[in-house]
Order: sequence, then structure tokens, then C-alpha cells
Amino acid sequence: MTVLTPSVRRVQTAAAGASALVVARLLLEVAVHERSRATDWRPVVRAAIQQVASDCSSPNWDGYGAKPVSLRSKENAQRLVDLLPVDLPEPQAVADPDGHIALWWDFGRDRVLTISVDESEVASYAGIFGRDVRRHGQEPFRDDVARALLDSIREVSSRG
Amino acid sequence: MTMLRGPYWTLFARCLHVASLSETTVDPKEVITRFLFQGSHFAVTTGRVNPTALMPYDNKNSKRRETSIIRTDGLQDREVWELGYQIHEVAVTPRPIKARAVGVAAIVIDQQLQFDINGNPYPRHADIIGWPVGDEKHARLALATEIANRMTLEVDTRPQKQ
Repeated sequence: MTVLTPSVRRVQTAAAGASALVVARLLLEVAVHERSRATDWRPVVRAAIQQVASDCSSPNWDGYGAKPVSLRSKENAQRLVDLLPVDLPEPQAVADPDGHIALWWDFGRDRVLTISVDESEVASYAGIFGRDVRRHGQEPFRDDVARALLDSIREVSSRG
Repeated sequence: MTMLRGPYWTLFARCLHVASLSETTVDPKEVITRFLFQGSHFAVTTGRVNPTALMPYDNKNSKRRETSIIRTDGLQDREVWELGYQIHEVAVTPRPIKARAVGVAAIVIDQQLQFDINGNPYPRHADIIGWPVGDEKHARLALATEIANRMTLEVDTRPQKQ
């Protein structure tokens, strides 16, 4: 088995022998090309956050007593989006009943991650990364995004 | 719920009938529903429920965090929707239902959470309680993620009102 580990993503083939390296390099080229084609989804998500914040600006927007989304949470969520690398998969913006904004990556059952951003530049996250892998915690963010968050986003989107 | 003691009470007496349900425990096999009002709380294309839709409300009166659900055993699908319409859209809050998250109680019980069968503000109502307290939001989010992950989505097929 030949494995190349480029900066973009792990490339792996089941090929063996002399042809394995060629196949792996071709896959690597595909991966690099994929990255170069990636469109910048961040303005779209920023706009979605704006829309969600507007939709959920009144108390009880969820019918269960939710707090209105705060301006600070909205701005922090948008800033977090700006700090995310564009090669990551696009999240969905979601309103949190405590007045925060969350980013949601969902790839089906047992592959889901939510990062919720509050007013104080703290991101709470929880995810399921396959049947037996769960992780949750909180990370501060200001000028960059914690490695734990980035790794979690990559992991939830890569597990098949 | 005083607002239900008018004509709605008679009309939906059957839907609200709870004789078949235990007043002390929620059976793990019981079906529960949470109505959803916010479009970002679910994804129609994937049929998935967002974890934040299950996050608990900080009830200042009861001084606890709770997630409101309806026990729907014994009701036909149409009756569940009607119950939701009358409770949420007419009687309590004029907020249109967009979808509902459906699952069995075991999903909640497996997370070491409990049900408070209080019948308040209406019969068949219960609260999911026992959520982690304090500032550990990520711990609550983790439990909500587990629950949402195993629930299914049913979208309201009525023409959406603006």
C-alpha cells in the first residue's frame, strides 16, 4: 500500500508495486486540484449568520423560551467563519436557544459536529466522529482558531 | 393551561387523552416528538435534526434546564400534527410549526437524562431534565448531539405561511 501525506489531505491507494507511486501521485494531483477549485464559502455563511440572527432576534423565537441572538454572538460567529480555512467544508449557520450562533457540519448519522460561539470569544463544541468516537469541549478564539476545532472539522468530514 | 379550556379542549380531547400512558415513567419504547419552529434547526435535504434544537431551556421558575417534548404513543400521525398546531399555533404561541423531531424515549434515557412527566402546560407534555448544570455548555451540547443524531425528521407538508 502506498500512502502520500500531503498538506492538503491524506491520499491512500490499495495499489502495490511500481504502479502504486504513480497512482498515489495522480490522486495527490486530484486532491490539490480539488483544493484549488474550492470556492470561498465564507461570505455565504457570513450572510447566513446575519439572516439567522435577524430571524431569531426576538425572545422565544423557537417557541420554547429561547433568548434573542445577541449582536456580539453574531459578530463573533462571523469572525470565526473568517478565520476558518476555505478548504474546510461549508457549515450551516444555526441559532442556539441561549442566544448564541452555532456552526453545524452534518454528514449523516454518527458524523456531526456543532461549534457554538458565545459573546465572550469562547467556542463550545461537540461532535460524533464515527460510531465510537465522541468529543466535546470549549476553546477560546481571538486571532486564530484552536487546533482542536480545526482537527474536529477535518475529522468529521473525512470519516466515511 | 387555561387557553385550552375553551373549544379546543373538546376538539382535542382525544389527542390529549393520556390514559394509555404511565403517569410515573416514560417507557424507553415510547415515541416522543419535539416540534420545530426554526428553519435552521433541521435540514430537509438530509432529514437531519440539528443538536441545538434539543438544547435545554433555562427555566427560571423551576430553576433547572429542560427540553420540552410531547409523548405521542397512541396517536396517529395526523393527530400528532393537529395536537401541535392547536397547542403551539393557536393556544399558546402564534408560531408556525415547520417540522418535528421524532424518536423513542430510549434515545434520551441512554444519555442518563430523565423525563419529568408534569402534564404542564398540557397533557402528554414532559420535560427532559437532568442536563449538566453550570457553564459546561459543551457537555449539554454533547448530549443534545447524541439525541438529535438518533432522531428522525418529519417536515410539515402544509403550504408554508410567511
